[in-house]
Amino acid sequence: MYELVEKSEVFNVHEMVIDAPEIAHSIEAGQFVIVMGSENSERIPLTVSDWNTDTGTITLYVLETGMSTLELARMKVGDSLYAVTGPLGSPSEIRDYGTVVLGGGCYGIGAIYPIAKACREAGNKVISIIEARYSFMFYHEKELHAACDQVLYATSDGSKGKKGKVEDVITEMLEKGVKIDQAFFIGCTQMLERCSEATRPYNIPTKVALNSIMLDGTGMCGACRVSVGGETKFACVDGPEFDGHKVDWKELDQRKSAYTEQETVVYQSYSHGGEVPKVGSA
Amino acid sequence: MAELVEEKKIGTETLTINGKSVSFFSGDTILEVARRSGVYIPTLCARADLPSIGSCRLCIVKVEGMRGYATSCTTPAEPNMVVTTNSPEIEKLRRGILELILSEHPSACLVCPIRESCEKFNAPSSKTGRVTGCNMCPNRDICELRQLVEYLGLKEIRYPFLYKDFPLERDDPFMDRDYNLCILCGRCIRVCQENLGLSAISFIRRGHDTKVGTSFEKLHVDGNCVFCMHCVDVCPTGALTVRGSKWHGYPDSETPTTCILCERGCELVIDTKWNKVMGAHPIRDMSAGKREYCVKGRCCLPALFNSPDRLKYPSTRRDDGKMIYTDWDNAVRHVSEIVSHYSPKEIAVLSSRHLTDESIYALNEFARVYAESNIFYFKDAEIIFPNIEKSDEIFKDIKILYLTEANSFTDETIERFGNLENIIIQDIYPSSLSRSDKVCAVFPTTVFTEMNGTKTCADNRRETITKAAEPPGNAIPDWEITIQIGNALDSPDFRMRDFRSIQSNIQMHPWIITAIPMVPKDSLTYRGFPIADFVPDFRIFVEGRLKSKGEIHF
Repeated sequence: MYELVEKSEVFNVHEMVIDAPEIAHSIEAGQFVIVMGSENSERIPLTVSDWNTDTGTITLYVLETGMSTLELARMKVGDSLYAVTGPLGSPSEIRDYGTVVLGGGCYGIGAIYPIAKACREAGNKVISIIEARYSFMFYHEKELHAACDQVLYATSDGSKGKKGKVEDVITEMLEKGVKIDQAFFIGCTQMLERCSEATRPYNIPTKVALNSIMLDGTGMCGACRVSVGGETKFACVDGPEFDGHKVDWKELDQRKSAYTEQETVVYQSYSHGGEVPKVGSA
Repeated sequence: MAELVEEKKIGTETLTINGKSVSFFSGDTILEVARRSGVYIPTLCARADLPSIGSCRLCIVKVEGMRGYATSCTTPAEPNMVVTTNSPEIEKLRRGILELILSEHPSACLVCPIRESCEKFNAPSSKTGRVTGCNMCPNRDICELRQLVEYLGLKEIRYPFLYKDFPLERDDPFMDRDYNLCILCGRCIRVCQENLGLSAISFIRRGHDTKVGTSFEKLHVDGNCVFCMHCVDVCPTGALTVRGSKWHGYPDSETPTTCILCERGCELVIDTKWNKVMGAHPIRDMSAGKREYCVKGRCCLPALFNSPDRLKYPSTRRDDGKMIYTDWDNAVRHVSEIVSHYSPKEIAVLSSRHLTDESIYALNEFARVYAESNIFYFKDAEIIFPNIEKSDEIFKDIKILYLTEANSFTDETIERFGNLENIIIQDIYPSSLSRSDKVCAVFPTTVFTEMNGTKTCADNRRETITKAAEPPGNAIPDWEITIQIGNALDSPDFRMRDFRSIQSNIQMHPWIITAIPMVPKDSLTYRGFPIADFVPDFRIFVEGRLKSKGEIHF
């Protein structure tokens, strides 16, 4: 079960193709799975970036950014994940908006792909904007180009597209008078916030996929709660997509850094040759 | 060492640096003279504790009458030289050199338009595998490259970036290597080769493919490397890191103390954050030491001491036979009541070679007053009573044991105490013995990074131990538990009242400490617990070493 069929790395983002036919048959754009690398692993939510009903596989883009993703990054083709639960979360709201802009950074470059495809199928004009530090860090480009009317780039060093970030490209578009009817953003909290601030002055409906700390993913534990427009919402069942102009970003950042100590200390007893260590408050 | 520097200050010759006359000794380099006279010259490859090779070129200075610019780290000072270390022209050249270095070192974060907000957001850096920018780099907060970018005010890199695309090297125990960050300064090679004489690493391949590596690119664990991590200590970038100790950013405090995992008693600086040991390393300015640190003290302490399995609260056995957590007052009262039912010859105390001098002394005093000096220790799984002629008689008499190293007991050795009724355990971890139904109390105690004190090491050096981290739960030092029980038993003969009274007694009776033998250098345990049980990478290191060399030494 959940065998790793294909795996490759593009600068810290690991493409993992996993055998999970039931999920592949029922998943929709914008949904995610909760994954456990091994029996003692933390449960982590990961957006499903692609799926194939013929082969019964799903594709995840995993950014190594802590112990649990390190464990996934060290897995090899043929290894099996302990658990993959899903599809979870509400699918993206796909209709004919007109012109849709999708912004993605890090794992978001892969994660916007199914939404782009679905939006195009619904009759939208789809523009994707992707960001990275360097030109060579982009991935999944061919597929994205095929699914979009236009793909724009932003890089920190200016080596491809605009020197800057996704929001710089959007601001430039908006200043030029390009009409955008709906925006979707997937990436780190900081990028989501900056992009939402860029669309706010133009009142562009903006959806952001939040990545709060999650446990069960079915609305039971409340670990993933976020404040949106003054209301408490669960990212797992009410989201993951929310109105980017209404999210309490400061609270989200604070909640996300609640376990920095444990997330750091756990590296002390980790070994590539051993088991995943226990996390405690010793 | 101090004398040497003093002597050098009043050198016999003089030269001029930036218009100021400075004295020096023949044999000094311009960089050494400048440093001593308080003139800063930026360097990446040179360090005061390493031989210089002049590879980074950042320390260039203008010497009147000399063609071009001289690298100050390799140019000997000469009488009446006129040296300029800083000018717009030199600054421009240095910026150019730094730009070239950064064109092969992931530096997009340095010139990124949102650098500031991103650094705040990623504090400490995100725990990535492959480092593609400062905000994903474990070394960000102490990076010498970044410091130089600030110093030289570099805002832009004019050259396209070349990513070397070396594979991440993460298959060795303890150490992560990402040579895509390496600037080929050669410090790691010099410390290994010239200071330590190990030569585990060297430059391999040629031209653009040049990198640091082992012969035949074997794993370090299969080669000459002893995992002293001096290469990590001197690396000016994040290329070399200790896997378990790299993501905490700036520590809250750095505390110099003594490692007492063995008799060598090495001086060690403990990095603390969240009141926990996050890492251990030599004093930074002198980290390219001439003697290698061993992997035990350098890499094993955080995992060994922060395990969630540590004993945290005192527990005692209730009348119904169940062990329950309690407070110290109750626990001490409970134990002293039990002990008071026995006559001194029925009591024996297990000391440990890993204890601090104060804890050894307190135990000895307890044994002298309440246990007819029935104190023993373990040596190679053998029970040794230093005060008593070895006879089976003593094992028959003992009815209660007070143990500070319970895990050294095997089923066989505990059975030698045939008439045993009660066991008091004072330890850092649970052991198989602590689950025995004869145990009447378990006292959680501290490890050496969680207490103050002294330790007598090899050559009778008495080294200072300084508290660097908080103990887990309600654990307290061994000596404190011992004198609490000793005082609760209320014999006027028990004279230890506090830390101070123990210390002044040690000075009067140092032979009490030296009666307990020291921990051998090659020991693989701490307080009877195999280090490898708590530090999985240590097991890999030991097994790898035994496989390749057939034996293991530290």
